[in-house]
Amino acid sequence: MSDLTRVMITGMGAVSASGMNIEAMWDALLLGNTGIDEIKTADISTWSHRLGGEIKDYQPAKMLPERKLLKAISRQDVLGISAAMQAIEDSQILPYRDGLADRTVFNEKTGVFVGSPGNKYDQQYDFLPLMAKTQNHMQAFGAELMNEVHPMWLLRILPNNVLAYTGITYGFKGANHNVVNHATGGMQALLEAYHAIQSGQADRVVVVAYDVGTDLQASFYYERLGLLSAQHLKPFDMTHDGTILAEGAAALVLESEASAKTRGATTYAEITGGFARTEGSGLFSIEASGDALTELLRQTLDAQKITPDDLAFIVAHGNGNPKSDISEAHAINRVQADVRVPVTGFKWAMGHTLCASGLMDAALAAKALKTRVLPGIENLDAPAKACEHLNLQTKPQALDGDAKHALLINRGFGSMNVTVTMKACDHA
Amino acid sequence: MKQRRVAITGIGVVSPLGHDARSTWQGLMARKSGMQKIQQFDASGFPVRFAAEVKNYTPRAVRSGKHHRFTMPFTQFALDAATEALHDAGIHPKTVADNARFGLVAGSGMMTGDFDHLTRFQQAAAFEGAVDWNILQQQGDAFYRLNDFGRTASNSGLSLLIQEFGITGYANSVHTACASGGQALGLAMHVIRRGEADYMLAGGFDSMINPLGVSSFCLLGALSSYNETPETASRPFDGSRNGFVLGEGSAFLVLELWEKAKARGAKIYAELAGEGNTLSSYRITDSHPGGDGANQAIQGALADAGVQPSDVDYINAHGTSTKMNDLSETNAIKAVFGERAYKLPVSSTKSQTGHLIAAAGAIEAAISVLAIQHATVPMTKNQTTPDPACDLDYVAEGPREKSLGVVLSNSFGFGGTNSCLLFKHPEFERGRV
Repeated sequence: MSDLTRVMITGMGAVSASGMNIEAMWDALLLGNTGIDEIKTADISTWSHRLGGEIKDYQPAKMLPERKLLKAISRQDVLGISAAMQAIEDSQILPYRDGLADRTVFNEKTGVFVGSPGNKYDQQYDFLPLMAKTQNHMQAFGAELMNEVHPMWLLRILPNNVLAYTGITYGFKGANHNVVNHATGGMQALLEAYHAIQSGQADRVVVVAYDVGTDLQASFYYERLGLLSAQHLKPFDMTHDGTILAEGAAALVLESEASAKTRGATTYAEITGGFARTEGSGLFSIEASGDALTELLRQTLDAQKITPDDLAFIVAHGNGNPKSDISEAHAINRVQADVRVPVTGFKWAMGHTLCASGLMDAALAAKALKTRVLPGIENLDAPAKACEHLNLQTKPQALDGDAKHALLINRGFGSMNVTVTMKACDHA
Repeated sequence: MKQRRVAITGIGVVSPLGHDARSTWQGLMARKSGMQKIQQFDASGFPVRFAAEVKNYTPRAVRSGKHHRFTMPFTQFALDAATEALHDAGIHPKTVADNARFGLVAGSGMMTGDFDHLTRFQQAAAFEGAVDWNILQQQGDAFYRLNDFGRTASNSGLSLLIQEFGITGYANSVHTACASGGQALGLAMHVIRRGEADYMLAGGFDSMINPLGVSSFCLLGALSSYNETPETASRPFDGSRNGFVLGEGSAFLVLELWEKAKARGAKIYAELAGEGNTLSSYRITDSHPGGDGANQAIQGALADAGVQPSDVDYINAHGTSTKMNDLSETNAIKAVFGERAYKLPVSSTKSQTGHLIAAAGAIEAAISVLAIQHATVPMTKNQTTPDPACDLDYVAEGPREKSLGVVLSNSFGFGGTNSCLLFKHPEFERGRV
C-alpha cells in the first residue's frame, strides 16, 4: 500500500465554545479553560440539566463571506461555513489558484466533503405559528401556508447547505459527499476525503463538519435517555456521569503530497488511514465489553503495519458517558497491553459537538503533532476504576519520544465507531 | 494496478408503481403512472394536492426485534427493498464467510421529522406558536416518548438496516438532496474497489409526502400544479412542464466483488463500472443552463469506466420536469455527446414514478440495470408539446426494445451535487455487446 498517494493536512479552522479559531481553542486546552457554561440562548431555568457548549458572542454576519447569506441558511450552517473559510484561508490555496493561468483543473480537482448533522428539531419551528393558528385543521393549514411560512424555508434547512455554499463561494467543483450519520459524520467525511485523494478523484479536499448539539428538543431527549450530566463533562473520571452537548464546527484542507509540494504548502500532519464500522447493535447501544471497538483498533493499526509503540498518543472519544468511557478504556487497554500510550480527549473543553467532534479532534491532534505538545484532561481528578490503567495526564506534556503516529477514536449513535490515524510530518 | 470490479447481483424496489422490482418494471412497461390525489393526509387546502405515493402498502413481512419500534413508513420501505435485494442476490450479511466484509451505504432523506410528533410538540410547548421550554419540561413526562427520538434521529434508517441485517462492517449514510441515492451507490462502489468490503448493500429511501415536505416544495413553487390531471403532471422535457411530482419509496442494490460473484455462480445483472461526482457551484436550486457541472459528472463516469461517449446506449435522465433541470440536463448531454446526442435514447422514468428525492438515484439505478437485463429502454411519458430547446430522443412513443451495453443514470441535487453512474452489461466489451 506504500505506493499510494500520501494525504497531508495543509489548513485548519474551527469554532466552538472554547474559541473562535484553532489557536484560541488550542490555548484554552493548554491553559485548562473550558467553554462549557449555562445555556444562554433560551430560558431553561427550570431544567435540571442546563449546561451546554454554546458559541460565545455569536456574530453570524462576521462569520460569513457575505452578509446576505444569513437569510438563506440556518445557525448550524453559519458555523460550518465559518470553519471552512478559516481552513481555506489558513491553507493559502486561493492565492496559489489565483496565480494559475487556467483554474479549471484546480477547481475540478478540489472536492468538498462534509459531515452534516442533518436536520434539527428547531428548524421545524417556523411552522409552529401556522399550526397554532390552524389548530390541527389540515385544510386550513394548507390554505394559510403561503401566508405564514417563509417561501425559502426548505433552502434554509438543507442538510447540504455547507457543502453547497463552500462550493459556490470558492468555485470548487470536484468530488463531494455529505455524510449524515449522527456523531461520526465528520470523521467519516474525513476518511472519505482521504480515500478520494488516494484514488485520484481529487487532488485536494475541504473537509467540514458542524453541529448544533445544543438543539433544546434534542437535549430534552438526551437527558431523558440518561446521557447528559447536570454538572460536568469529566472523561474517564470516577465522577463521570454523562456528556454535555455543544455546538461547533471544524474544517481541514487535505491535499495530496504532490499538490502540497507543488505550491510549497505548510503541512500540519499526514492522514494515514482509519475505518468506520458499526457494532451492529441498537441505535443508542454501546457494547459494554468494547470487543467491537477493540477489533477496530487492531484492524486500524494492522492496516498501517504499526504497533502501540509507534503511537505518540491516542485521542479518545472520551465523552464523559460512563458506558462509553469504560468500554473505550477496555478497548484501548487490550490493544496497548503494557505500552501505556498517552491518552487524551478534548471534549471537557468545548463539550460534545456531535457531528463536528471527530473532525475537531483531528484538527487538535494535528496541532499536537505539529507542536509536539499534548494537552491533558484538565478536570480529571481520579480515574474511574476501569480507566486506571490508561496513561492519562491533566497537564500538557511534551511529545519528545520517537513515536510519530496518533490514533483517534470517534463514536456515535447507530453503534458506530470510527478511527483515524495520523502521522507527524518529517520536518515537524 | 488492476482495479477491483463491482458486480450488481441483487435488486429491490418499493415504488409508486409497485412493491417490488418486478412490479415496478412491469408498471413502467405498461406505461402506468404512479400519481394520484394525496391519500396520506388531507391536502385539500394545499396549492398542490397530488403526489406519487406508494399505494396499498403493507410491509412485506412481519418483523420481530426491538429495533422496529423506531420504524417510520419510509424506513419500512427501505427494509422491504433491502430484503428483496438480498433475497434476489442470494446472500446475506449473516451468512457470508466474513460478516465484517459486508457493508452498507444509504442515501437517506432529510425530513426525518414526523408531523404528528411536531403537532404534539406544538400542543405541549408552543400552544400560541412560540416555544416555552419550561412548559415542555413541566409536561415532560406526558410528552416524552423514546420512540419519537429514535424515529427522528438523523441515522435512524441506517441503524434500522444495520440491526435488521446484522451489519458489522462499513456503514455510512449520505444526503445530497436529490443526488443522495446515486452518491450512495457511487460511494459503495469505491468501498469495494479500495478493498474495504467485498459486498455492499447500497441504495436510498425517502418520503417527503407529509404536511411539512409538501409544504416545503409548495413554498418554493417547485412542484407541478396540474392538480386536475395528476397522471400527466410529470412531463420531463415537454414544453408544458411546470414542476416535479413528489414521489416516495426505496431501492437497494447488492454490490459484490466481481470475482466473488463469479465464484459463487451468482446472477450478475450488470457491472457498476463508473461514477462521476461533481459540484456545479452555481446556485442552490438552479442548475447551470448550459449544463456545467452535470457535463463533468457524465464525463467523469465515462472516464472512470474507461468507455467512450460512443459506447453509451441509453441515459436514464434526472429529468425532473422542472423548467431549468430539463434544459440544463439536455445541454449537458449535448456538450458531452455532440451530434451523437440526437441519436441517443434519453428518458426520464420520473414521468411515471415521480421524484423519489433521496431515493431517486437508487430507483433509477435499479431501473437502468433492469433496462440492461430486459434489453428495453423505458419511455418518457406525457410528451405532448415540443420544447424547441429540449430536442433529444426522449423515447416518447413507449418502451423501446434495444440491446444495451452501457447505460448512464444521472442524479442532480439541490445544492449542486451531480452524480452520474455508469452500468455495463455483464458481457460488454468495447465495440460490441
